[in-house]
Amino acid sequence: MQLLIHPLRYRRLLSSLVVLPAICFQIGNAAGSDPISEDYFFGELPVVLSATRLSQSLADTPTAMTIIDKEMIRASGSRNIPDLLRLVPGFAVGFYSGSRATATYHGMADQYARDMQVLIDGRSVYDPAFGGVAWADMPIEVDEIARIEVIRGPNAAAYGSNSFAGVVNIITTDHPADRPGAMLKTIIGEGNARKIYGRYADSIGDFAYRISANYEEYDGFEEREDSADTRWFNFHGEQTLDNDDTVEFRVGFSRGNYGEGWSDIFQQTRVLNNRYNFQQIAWTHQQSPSNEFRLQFYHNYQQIEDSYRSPIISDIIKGLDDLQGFPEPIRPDIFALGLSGGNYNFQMFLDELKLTDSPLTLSWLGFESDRYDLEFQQTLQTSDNLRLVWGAGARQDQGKSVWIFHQRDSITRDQLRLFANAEWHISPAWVVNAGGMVERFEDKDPFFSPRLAINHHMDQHNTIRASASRAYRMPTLLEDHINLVVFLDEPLNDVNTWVLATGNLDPQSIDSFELGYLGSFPEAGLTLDLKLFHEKIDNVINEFRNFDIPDPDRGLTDPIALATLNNFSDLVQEGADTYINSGEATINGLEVNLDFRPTPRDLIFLGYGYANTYGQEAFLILDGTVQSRNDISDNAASHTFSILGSHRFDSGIQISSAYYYVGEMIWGSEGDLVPTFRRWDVRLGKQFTLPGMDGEIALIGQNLNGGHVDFFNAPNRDLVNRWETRFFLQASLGFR
Amino acid sequence: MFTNGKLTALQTGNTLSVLGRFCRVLLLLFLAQHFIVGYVYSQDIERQQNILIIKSGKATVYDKVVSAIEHYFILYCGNHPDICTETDITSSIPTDLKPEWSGHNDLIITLGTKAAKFTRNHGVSKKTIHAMIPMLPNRNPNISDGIFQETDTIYLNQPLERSLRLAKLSTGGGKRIGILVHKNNAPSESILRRSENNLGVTITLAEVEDSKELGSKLGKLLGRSDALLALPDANIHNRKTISNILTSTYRKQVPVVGFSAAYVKAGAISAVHSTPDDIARHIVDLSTSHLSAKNDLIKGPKYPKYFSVSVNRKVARSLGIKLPSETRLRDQIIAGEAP
Repeated sequence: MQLLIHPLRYRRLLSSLVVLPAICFQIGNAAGSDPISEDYFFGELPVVLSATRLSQSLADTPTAMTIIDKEMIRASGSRNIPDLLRLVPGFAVGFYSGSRATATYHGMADQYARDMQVLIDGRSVYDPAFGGVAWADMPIEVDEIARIEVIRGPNAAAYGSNSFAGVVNIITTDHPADRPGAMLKTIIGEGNARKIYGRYADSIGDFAYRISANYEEYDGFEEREDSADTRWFNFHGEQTLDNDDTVEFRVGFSRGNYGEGWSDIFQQTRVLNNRYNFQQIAWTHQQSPSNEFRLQFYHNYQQIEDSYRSPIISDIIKGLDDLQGFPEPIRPDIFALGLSGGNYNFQMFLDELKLTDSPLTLSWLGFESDRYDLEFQQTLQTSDNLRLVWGAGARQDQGKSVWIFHQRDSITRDQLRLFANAEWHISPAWVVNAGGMVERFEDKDPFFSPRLAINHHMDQHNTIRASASRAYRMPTLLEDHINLVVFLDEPLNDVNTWVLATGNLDPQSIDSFELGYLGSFPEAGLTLDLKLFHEKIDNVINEFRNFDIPDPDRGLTDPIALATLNNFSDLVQEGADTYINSGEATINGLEVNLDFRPTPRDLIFLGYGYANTYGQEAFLILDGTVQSRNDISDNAASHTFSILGSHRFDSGIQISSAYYYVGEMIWGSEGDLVPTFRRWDVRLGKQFTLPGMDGEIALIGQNLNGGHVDFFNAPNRDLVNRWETRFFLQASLGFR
Repeated sequence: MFTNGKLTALQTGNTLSVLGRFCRVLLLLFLAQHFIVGYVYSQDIERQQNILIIKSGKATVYDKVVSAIEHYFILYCGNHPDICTETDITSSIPTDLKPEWSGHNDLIITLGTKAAKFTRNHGVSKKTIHAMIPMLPNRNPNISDGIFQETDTIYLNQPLERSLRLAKLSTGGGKRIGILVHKNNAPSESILRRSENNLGVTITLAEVEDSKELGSKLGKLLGRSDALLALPDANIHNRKTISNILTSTYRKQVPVVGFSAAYVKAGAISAVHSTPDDIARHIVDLSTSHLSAKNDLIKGPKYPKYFSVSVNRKVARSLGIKLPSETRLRDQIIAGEAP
């Protein structure tokens, strides 16, 4: 066995500045015996890795980072991106259904992790309406990912608001022409897992492209009706115009059907129909090796079709537990008499309250959202010691849903931003990173997110860093504008206000302080990152029940009718949920990130996070004052731990295993207190080569210690997400 | 007058005066000897040295070499007045040469393959130095192109081991060097193995036959390499391919060690190469040997004696590789090459 040190693996880079140019590989002359001229040695070449395109060395980055690279992706056996994020110290991942997940850093999240910025190839996939990321709808396959760079901590100075708790930066693999040819990948496994993925890459002259398509289905949790099927298509093209100019195009769309709901009258099982598409174009112009411009435009579209129709009112009444002692035909009248203080029978109840015996309708999730974003950026290396990135951007977010916003028109919000970041090497031993972003959102006060970090290289191997930053999380369109109403039969026939925005919210803020140590020992293949942190979150945007919020009066004036309607509404839901800025949280802790690759065949990755979280948020408001507060110390796990190990034998067989631990925590919103999460995965793979093709077969075992609970843990609601041991067989074949 | 004085002193018997006169005699003798020898030498090179430089084209690089040659000749002659007094250097491209060009030269220097072939075609081979000759990677310098075999020839290419030394120094501690070559241009196995032993590195060679293989071969090679050494081979490294080579390697955090200053500027971490100045120095070294010696020196192709190292600090910093100064890197390579 070769025992060669592999020193380069440890160097993980921040790719915030990396822009990848594009041209295809072309060998000049297949005969290979062309004499070369002297000009070959002295002629100019197009500058490829200009100072502006280069990334920062990990030792110079201002924040702690975890890099998940191809080796780790393969070794983990993960079939989706959220599972990969389990490796990151401080991360918790919750699958609220078998195929749909939320991922958060330092907890305090629900189905929509609104405090995480997620970028795929420089495109923010944060949903402006609901917040969070619809991971399952993203047209991306883990095999296409070159690297996931997770910035553990706020970085709004570079990526803008919502880069609050952390930033997940996904860089897809390989330039289109890097791996020309076709590739097929299939997965079959327990839980009716089926997947087929194919891609093809080639180039025509200076235009290189890759197309990929995917279909998959999965039954999800055994005790849930959460089967899902997704299909997507993705295109990536790069046109090289000349030495200095490149244009990138990316287009993708997906459609998915996801089982949702449980045995609740307003959350009954149903199927969501999701659609997602995006278009991205970016032009990069290199003025000189040290001066580069980039202009990017993208559009994301997300649609979730989800509307729910209950049984008609009389049938709902007939099913009520309290009325089961009465003969079925008279239950509606008894119900009406009870609510009206003996004044109305059921028909009068309907007439007086201007109701019909129709279904109640509502939607929890049905909406459409658009994000249009234009950004200009200039990267300058003004001297050997100073690198500067500045830029300006404009964005429009739109949300549309008669269900959620109680109007048929779109709600829009514009944003303008200006940012600058500098990396200044004061001396070989000292590096300062300073930067900030000013953002102005429509109808909000402008705000500034600064960051300052100092890195001290004690020697070639040891670096200490100290950094401070402030970031904001903008309220989502939903938090600012929601008016979720239970309708009778058709939209805008209001019966009960379920969730109502009550004000123009302020952004939630975080001040973060970090002391870090980075040890890089290339001879040993070891990188160790330690982080001590203090985070203070203020103005927490917090959802709570406000019993003071009245329900719709349906234009009634008669006091008996009004009182009856009020009683009826309270039966559906008393008061309404709403959002306010109320609450604060403090998180102190430490994190360890260790990447050890003693040989090219061996890999050990270890992540550990300790977080001491305390704070409170409003829980109940009555008569305009907060009546009680909620302790939020359990909204984040105190300990997270992950370990991934892999060894590849001479025979091409690779065995790897991962173990993930997340301490007891409460998932927000509809989520539950979930006991300690422990998951053990094993993967056994064998790579092979055939004439003209490469392939791999792998057996993946997930949750070998099956039985642990994820996100939902409510036996009383018949709602427990329990992972069972599952095996999958994966085969891939690449044609050269 | 001195003679008179000397005699006087001897006659008077004054000891001090005798010593003083003795010194004067010595001085006289020294001057006389110097005069005579100088006369003899000046007789030897009284005639003007005519040097003709033939350039392969109008590219500025040739002019840079020509002016550096002039510069080094002036320096050399300043330090060696005993060898050269007056040198007349003229330079031209073949089409501008006068019909009698080959007749009256003490030395002809050709720059580039085209100029070398031009002199060959005109049957000129004596007192000729061919410089700036590119060599394909698979050519063994000892059995190289016939036309350069009997002539002083200076390659543009660096010896493989020199490049490998820089590659080793550029990995940040690694020892695995990957080389991507066209199938027809692969260095011989024996040279590779010898270099591995001499330098303590592991060399992985990936041979590419068809353009379709370049991406996949490079991808695999990078998985097994701490640095990619680019050898001059236009089939592999050309304007169209370097963009992908550099971005692919950069993404995999493998530095590329190039073979030209332009490659470094484009994004390679470092390169060992000969600048026009280095080339000119080597040419002048060989030229003065020609001019001062009666017999021709050892003929045949040579690798550049002088070379420079270029480093792209920005790339190095981004890859997290700390590199010493360019001069220090060159000194380390020279120290390694010392027998």
